[in-house]
Amino acid sequence: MNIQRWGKKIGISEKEYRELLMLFLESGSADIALLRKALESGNAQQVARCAHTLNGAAGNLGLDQIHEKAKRIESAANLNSLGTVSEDLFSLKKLFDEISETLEEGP
Amino acid sequence: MVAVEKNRNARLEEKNAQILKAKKIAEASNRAKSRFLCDMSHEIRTPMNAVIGFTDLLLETELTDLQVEYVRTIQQSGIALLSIINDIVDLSKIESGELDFEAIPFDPELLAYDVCNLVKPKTIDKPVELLCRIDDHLPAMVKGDPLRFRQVLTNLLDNAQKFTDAGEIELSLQLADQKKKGVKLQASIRDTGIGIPFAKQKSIFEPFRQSERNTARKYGGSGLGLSICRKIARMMGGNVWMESSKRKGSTFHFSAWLEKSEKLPDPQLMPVTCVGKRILVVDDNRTNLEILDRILTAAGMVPTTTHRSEKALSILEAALQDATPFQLCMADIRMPHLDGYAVAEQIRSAESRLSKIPLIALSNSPNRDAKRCEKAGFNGFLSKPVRRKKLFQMIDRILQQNNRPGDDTKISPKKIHTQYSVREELKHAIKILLAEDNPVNQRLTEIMLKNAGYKVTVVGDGTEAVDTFIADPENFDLIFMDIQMPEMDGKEATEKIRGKGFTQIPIIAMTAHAMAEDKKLCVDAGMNGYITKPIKRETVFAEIKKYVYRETVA
Repeated sequence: MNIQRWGKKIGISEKEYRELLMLFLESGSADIALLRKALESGNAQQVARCAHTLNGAAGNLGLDQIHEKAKRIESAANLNSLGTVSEDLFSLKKLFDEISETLEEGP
Repeated sequence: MVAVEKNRNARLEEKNAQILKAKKIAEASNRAKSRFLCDMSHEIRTPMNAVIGFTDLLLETELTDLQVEYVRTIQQSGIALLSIINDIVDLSKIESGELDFEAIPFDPELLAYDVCNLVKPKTIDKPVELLCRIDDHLPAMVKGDPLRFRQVLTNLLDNAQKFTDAGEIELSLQLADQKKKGVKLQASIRDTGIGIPFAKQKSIFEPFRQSERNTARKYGGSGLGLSICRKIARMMGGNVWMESSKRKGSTFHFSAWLEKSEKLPDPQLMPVTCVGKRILVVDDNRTNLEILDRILTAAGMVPTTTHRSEKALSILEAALQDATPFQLCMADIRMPHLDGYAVAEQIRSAESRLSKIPLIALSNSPNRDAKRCEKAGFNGFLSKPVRRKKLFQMIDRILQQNNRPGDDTKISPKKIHTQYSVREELKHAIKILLAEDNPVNQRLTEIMLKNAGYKVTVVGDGTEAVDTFIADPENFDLIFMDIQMPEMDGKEATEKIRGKGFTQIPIIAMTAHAMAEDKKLCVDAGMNGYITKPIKRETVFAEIKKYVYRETVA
C-alpha cells in the first residue's frame, strides 16, 4: 500500500491522507465493535447501519477492499441473512490490521 | 360473392394482427438491443477508466522520453475510446427512451463561456479567434438540464474547432422566442473552416456518418456527435441544423425550449466607476470589436474601437487635445503590424498625461503572455473570449485603484490583475457550512475544501447545522449536508432551514444512494442538488461553481 499514491488519487497530500487513515482506524474500530455486538444479538438492522458507515468512509478514502467487504455485509444484513457476516468481519479486521501496520512503518 | 368478401376481410384482419404482433416484437427487440448496448458500454467504461487512471499514474513515474510518448498514446487512445463509448451510451439511451432530463436552474451565459474555455486550448496554436456573443435579452437564469445543453454546445463548438485552421469561430447565444412559462434559446456556432458540401449536409446528422470517409481518420470522432446533438435538441423541443458553403465555412444552429426560472440571480449592479467612462478598444478582429462595443455601451460606458493598432496612440492624443480624454484602453495582444505589447510600450513612453492611462490586455493564452504583459506596462489581463462580468469587475477595480488619491504619480501596478487573482479572491470569500457525522468523511471534505481555498465550518449533525446557520446566516454561501446523520438527518435539517424563511442559501445533499427516489426526497426537502459518495473533488467543486459563483460574481 502506497500512502502517497493513494492520497494523490483523491487529491490530498500524504500527510493528510495519513491523518485520515488514523481517523478511519479509530472510528472504524468503534464501528466494528458495534457491528460485532449487533451481530451477537442478531440485530440485522444495526449490523447494516454499522456496515454502511464503514463502507461510506472506506469508499471515500479509496480503500476498495474494505469498501467491498463492508458493502457485502450491509447487503447481507439488509436481507436479514447474517450467516456470512462473521467471516467477512474477520477479513475486515485483517484489512484494518494491514493499514495500521503500514501506518506504523512511517513515511 | 359476399362469402368471398367476408373471407377476404377475415384474412386481412388476421394479417393486420400478425403485422401488429411482428411490429411489437421488433420494437421490443430493438429496445432490448439498445439496452444491451447501453449495459455493455457501461461495463466497458469501468475498466477503461482504470486504464486511463493508471496511465496517469504511470506518467508520474520515471520514464524515458520514448516511454512517455508510448504512454501518452495509450492515454489519448483511451480517452478517444471512452468518448466513443459515452456517445454510444447516449445514443442507446435515447433509443430506448431512457435519457432523463433534469430541471435545475442555470445561467446560460456562464455555460456558454465555460464551453468556450473548454474548447479554447485547442485553438491556441492556430490563427483562430474564438468569440462569444451574448444577446442582451438573454435571461440570467433558465431552468432545464445544463449538462445536456452543455453537451450539445461543446460538441458543436468542438467540431467547429476541429475543422477550422484559420479565421474565427463565433458562439452566439440569443433569446429566440418566449411563452408564458418557457424560453427558447438559440445558439449559433459560426466558423470559417472547410465547410460542408451541399450534398453531404443532410447525411452528417445520421449516426456513424461524417462528411467524407477519411474525415474520421483525419479528425477523429465516432460520427455520432451530431446525431446525438440533434436528438437531444429535439427532446428539448428544439432542433440542430446547419448552413454551409464550401468556401465560407459553416454555421450550426441549436435551439431548445427551457423553463423560465423563478430563481432570480442577485441584481447585477453596474459599478458606478464604469458609467460614462471613455474606453478605447484596439483589436484587429472586427467581430470582437463589435461585441465589446455592445457590451461596454450597454453598461453605460462610452467605447471607441479601432482595428488598426498603429492608430491607437494618435486616437488617445487627439482625445486629450479635445479635452475628452480616455480613462482606459484595452488592447488585443495578437495583432498584425503592431501587436499589443508594442501598443502598450508606445503609450507608456508617450507624454506624461497620456502615459498613465490604465491598460488592459486581451489575450488568447493568458498563461503564456502574463509576464510579458506586466513588463510591457499593462495593468490588467483578460483572456478571450471575455465574460461581461469579469470585464466589468476588472475595469471597476482598475479605475478605482487609479482614482485613489496620492496614487496617481505611480500608475504602474505593483501586481498585474488577472482573472485568476480575481477568482481566487472570490474563492476566499466563499464560506461553506459542512454537516457530516462521520469523522473520516468530515475531515476529508474539509481538507479538500480548505486546500482549494474555501472557508469551512464543520458540524456533526443536523441540529448543529440548523443552529449554526441560523445564528449567522450571512456568514454562509453554501451548505453541504449529509443525508444520514444521527439525531436530526439532512432532510429534516433542510426543511427546518427552509421553514425559517431561508430560501436562497444553496443546500447540496451528500448521499451514498444514487437512486432517483433519493434525489426526489432531497428535492422535496428543499435541497438544490446532490452529490453521491464517494466524494470526488471534481464533483464538489463543480457544485460550488454551479451554485455559488454565479451569485457572488456580481
